[in-house]
Amino acid sequence: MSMLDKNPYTEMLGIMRRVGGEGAPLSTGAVIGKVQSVTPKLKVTVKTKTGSLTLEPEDLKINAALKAGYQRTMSFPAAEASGGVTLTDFALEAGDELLMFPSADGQIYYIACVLEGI
Amino acid sequence: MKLFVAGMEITQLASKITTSGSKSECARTLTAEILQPADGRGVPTVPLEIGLPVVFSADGQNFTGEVTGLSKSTNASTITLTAKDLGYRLTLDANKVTTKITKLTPQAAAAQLASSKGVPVGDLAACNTQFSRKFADVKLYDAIMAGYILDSEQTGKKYYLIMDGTNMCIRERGKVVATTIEAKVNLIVASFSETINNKGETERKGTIQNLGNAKCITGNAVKVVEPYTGMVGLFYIDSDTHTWQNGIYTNKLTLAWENTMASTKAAGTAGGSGRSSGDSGSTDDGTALNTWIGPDGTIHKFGE
Repeated sequence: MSMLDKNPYTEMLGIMRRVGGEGAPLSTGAVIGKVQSVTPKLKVTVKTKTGSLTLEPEDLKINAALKAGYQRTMSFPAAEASGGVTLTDFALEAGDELLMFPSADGQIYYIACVLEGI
Repeated sequence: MKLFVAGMEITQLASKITTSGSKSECARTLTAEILQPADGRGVPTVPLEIGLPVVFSADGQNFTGEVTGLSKSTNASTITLTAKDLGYRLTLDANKVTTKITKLTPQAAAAQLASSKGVPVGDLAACNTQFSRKFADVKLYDAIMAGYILDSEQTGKKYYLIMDGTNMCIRERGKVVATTIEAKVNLIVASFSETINNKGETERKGTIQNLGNAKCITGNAVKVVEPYTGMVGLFYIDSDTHTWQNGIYTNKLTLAWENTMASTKAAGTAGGSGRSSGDSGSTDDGTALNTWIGPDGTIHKFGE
């Protein structure tokens, strides 16, 4: 399987389509979330014009590449080597800023990636 | 009949008053033609302004709201006053909410949401279903009705929001049968039409004009006995207009054969944007929901 075959963003798009329904609008626009806690369970807050929502795992879908245990295959042609890579840590930490998209009905929030300054 | 604006009774200056409601609007509307000649002679001047409280009662119908529109012209001796009941505030941008409802009945969620904006509640239809929902910058009306729409999908019951004075109420649509309307008793005119729409379906439309009955309001049902138009049976009121003019009180009703309710995007159901506040001229910043209007049109804070 090539790297493109398991692009996490493509996978995420698939999840969004499955949740929203084929042909349904994927999202009503990107929002910025902030990780409040990772353990015992992930909590992310999203600020709106009129308040803030605290989102918990049942409200969230996450980019698979951010999760511990995510596996990819890699090859190193120069070394004529290839093998599997397994991520061992959860990519999110309290305080992280996240790029997120709500589902069309606003009931599921998709975590796309972690944002950092340049 | 009594009409007050900001505590001042102006009943004698009103040549025509109507109240109206429709399934597509969550607020009822009052319009009044107020005698105010351009030269100002002959009648007391009424200081009319947008936002002033309006209280009206006649023949068993009561209205509590505020002025949302005024229009006048030099070629007319009257000012047309438009007022909305306080239901219109539920759709203002200033009253949008962000909150999470977790496993509550629709009535408990409605009470919680209303309380968060200082809206007093009256009777709320009791449901046995529970729901969980997130609302991010959602209009208060849409959030309040979301649970009831979800309940409706499971139970088939239909609901509507109506203001009783300053209290927000949610009732089951069609549960109250206002009256029986029949020829030679209380019917003035019955009209019926049917057409084929683009989908090849037959659409029926019925309107009734009848002697005034305060209970003939949107959300209630009426029985009609009018054999010529074929309008015989139980009908649901989709819109209503009550008119008081020249001492005569009449109703005009748009009737539906099926019982349906407006949907909202907040419920995540298919359908349009649901009910609106109508064409109100909004002057309110939404923070005054914790006020009420007394029977004489004066404004009070809750808790006073």
